[in-house]
Amino acid sequence: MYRITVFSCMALLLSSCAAGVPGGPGTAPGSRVEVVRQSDGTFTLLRNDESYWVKGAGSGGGQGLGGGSLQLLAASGGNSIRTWGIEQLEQLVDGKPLLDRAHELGISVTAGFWVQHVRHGFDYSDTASIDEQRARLRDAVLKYRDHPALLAWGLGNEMEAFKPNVESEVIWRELNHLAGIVKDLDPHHPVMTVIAGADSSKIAGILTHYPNLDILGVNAYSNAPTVGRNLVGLGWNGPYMLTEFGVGGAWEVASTPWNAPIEPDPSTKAAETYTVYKIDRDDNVGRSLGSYVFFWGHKQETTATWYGMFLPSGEKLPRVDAMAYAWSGVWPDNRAPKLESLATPVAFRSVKPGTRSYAEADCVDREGDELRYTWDIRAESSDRGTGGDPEAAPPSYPESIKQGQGSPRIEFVVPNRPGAYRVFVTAYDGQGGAVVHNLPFFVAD
Amino acid sequence: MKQILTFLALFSAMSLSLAEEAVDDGLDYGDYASVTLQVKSWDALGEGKYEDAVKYTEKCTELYEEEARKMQASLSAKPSSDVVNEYWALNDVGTCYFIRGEALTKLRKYSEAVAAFKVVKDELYYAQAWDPKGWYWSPSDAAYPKIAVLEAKTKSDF
Repeated sequence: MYRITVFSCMALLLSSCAAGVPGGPGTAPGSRVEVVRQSDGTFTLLRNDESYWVKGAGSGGGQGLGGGSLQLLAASGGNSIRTWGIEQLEQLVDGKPLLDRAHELGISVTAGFWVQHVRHGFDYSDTASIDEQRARLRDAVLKYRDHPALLAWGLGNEMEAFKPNVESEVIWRELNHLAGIVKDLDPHHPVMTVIAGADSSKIAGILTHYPNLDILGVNAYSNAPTVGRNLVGLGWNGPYMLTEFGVGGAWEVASTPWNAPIEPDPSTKAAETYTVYKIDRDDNVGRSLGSYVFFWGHKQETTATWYGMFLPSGEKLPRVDAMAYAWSGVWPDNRAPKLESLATPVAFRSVKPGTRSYAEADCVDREGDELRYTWDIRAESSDRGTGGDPEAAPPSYPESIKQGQGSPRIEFVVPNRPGAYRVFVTAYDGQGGAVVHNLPFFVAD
Repeated sequence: MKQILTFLALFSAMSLSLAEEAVDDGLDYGDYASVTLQVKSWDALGEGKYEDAVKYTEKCTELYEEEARKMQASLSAKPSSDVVNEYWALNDVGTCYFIRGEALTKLRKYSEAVAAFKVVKDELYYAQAWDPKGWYWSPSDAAYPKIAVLEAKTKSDF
């Protein structure tokens, strides 16, 4: 049994607690997490000496959990969350700091440390910037290393993306240095770095320049089910996690003639999310250490509904139930409503300004809860970010809806301003569940 | 000379035959090139014209599947990017099977969609599709989870 990352060192841990290092007197002892390589070449994640399979979700960001619920994650069978920036650990969830609340609920946290991106203006040849980033990391590790909810350090997210390989080499070297800092200060938690999909140049760069890496995190969407297999082909034989997955990315699906990506229907999104989780788990035993579904909260990215698993008002969407089914093997007692169909004659078409039309949705609630509907006509997003960067929500045109708001069918007049739009419907069950979908259309003179 | 005339006559007859078919189903198949049919099927998918998308893919497989299968049989690995275009029929037919699966999914013909996805996954697995954003992707790899998703949808209530 080869211990890759950390050593069982209870004496050191106890002495640290006694000395009053961060975590403070009276707190529970910190966790000990390690990646263990078995004699057959497979890997196991051990948390406090017990095998630990990550049933996780990416969360946090924005306000609190971004609309997601930590309690519901635990109730759904999830056991871990992943954050992106260290400041998220201080966000209040149910009135308590995220780490504390997670620990109360039995949820571990892969604490993300945001390693700066070149595309955001960071200069990896600027010594002062490099030193400042290293200092921030030291502070973070010292502050949180003894928290019992800590599972791993998430060192960077997609910082290599959208840049030529020559710059990536510098980034891998710096990540290796940063991981060394973590290991010096906290030998009890592995280091994971998350990349935006895997390809040969990335894996080669990591293998050459980043030996301190313990777990490779891969964000992947349409090709998520084949990540494990592809990593082997690319030469990565170490442990990995799917760190973002769910539905096909907006850049990976069919688009309308005006380049509006066509969002899959909610049932398909739920089935896809469930399936990706199962394929990754079942096809990569001993190499995948678990996964983090994206995104346990609400997020405007291409549309307001593409990736988020909750509405801004907090209702869960069907993908939450799908993950509960995947994690626990049983469906929740009260499920989010199901959308059977959404139709409008203007869908996928170009129509004249002022065209009158209608839209109708067929939704069902499995528990028989009465459904309440809201409709929204919005412009297509013109603020498309890269790599998940923040996007502004496009404007809404409530005046376009002439009749039927609140019911399964509306009559509406398309906006006068030429351009791309979507009609959204949301059905609420009044029990904390909802379903939402949209169809695109275009207005042209 | 005789051979040329024979070829022209055959070509003319084939074109006429294809043109008649085009009139029959109301679709414009353009020059009937495999890439044309593949692009038209993508476009139809994006326009929500799912039946049309299926027809374009059927025309592509009708005309080029035999050649595509020969290309597949000649390979022992996915062609590298510098020679990938030499396998045009394989790429277009494989992509068309993927598009057919997508369109049939939209039409809720799940068992037929699974069948289409399985052709590219199990039989034309060296096909590659060009994304205008600048890279090739594997319709076979992409079909794999699609099949699993459809099978999950038929087994469980999502």
